[in-house]
Amino acid sequence: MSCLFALLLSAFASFGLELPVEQWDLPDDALMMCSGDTEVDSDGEGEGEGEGEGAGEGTGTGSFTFTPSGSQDRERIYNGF
Amino acid sequence: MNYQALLDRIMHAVDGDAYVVDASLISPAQREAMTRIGQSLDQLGPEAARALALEFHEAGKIDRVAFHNALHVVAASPQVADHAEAARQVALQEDAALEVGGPELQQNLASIDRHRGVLAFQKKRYAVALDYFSRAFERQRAAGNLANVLATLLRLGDEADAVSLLGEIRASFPAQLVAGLDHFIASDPDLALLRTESVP
Repeated sequence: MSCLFALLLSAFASFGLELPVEQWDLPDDALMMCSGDTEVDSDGEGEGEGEGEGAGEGTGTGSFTFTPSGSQDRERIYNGF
Repeated sequence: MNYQALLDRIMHAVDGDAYVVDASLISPAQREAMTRIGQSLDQLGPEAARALALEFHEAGKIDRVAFHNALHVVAASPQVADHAEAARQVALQEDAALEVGGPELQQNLASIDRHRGVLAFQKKRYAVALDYFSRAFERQRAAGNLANVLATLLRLGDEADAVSLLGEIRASFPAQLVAGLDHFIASDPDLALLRTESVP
């Protein structure tokens, strides 16, 4: 369990949820995991591979997929007032 | 055909889908005005939304907290993406919230935490965003805040933690909150990995 997740569960438990913090199944050393110099790479990294193949016959109709430049970096985020 | 106009419309739709604004968490007295500002941002653009916020503030329909809240949301929107201005407006929102105080203080501080989390998320500082989103949920038990927490966990690569947390939420949280969260999961591509988790 990551340090951040342990902190998160502690935060949720701190405002009176019906679920006691013990039931989150935190390891005994969860808080110790969060002490000291903890480095978190917030940038993240990822790799991916893909393969594809296909065959088909045209019937006279078609469609295209438009991928706006940079759209792969877009993220949906809730920013309610 | 004006392809540039078509491209602009597509980009606007993409931006709109990627940035979810609503006024459901605003106090009833100011909700209608803030809803109209949100609609204006979506349909007419940032300048119109700013003008409407100023008009409503000068008319006394929204207070200083809500005014800076609205200007932050406009500045942080993908159409504008002025993160420095968005951060400045959050600071002004916090100053106003602390000055006003009152029964809305925790809700206002939750909004500020959420806004700061959004800025961190947009800058891909996901660990920082998770901290802010957790604080927002701590202050305000809203489905949107939970959705942000889960989306950020997934961005951090903590899929197992996100799935585990979702299971605990569904087992322990009020049904209305869970239903609201399920709506986000069903509609938010960033939460698509969680759709395979069955609802009990």
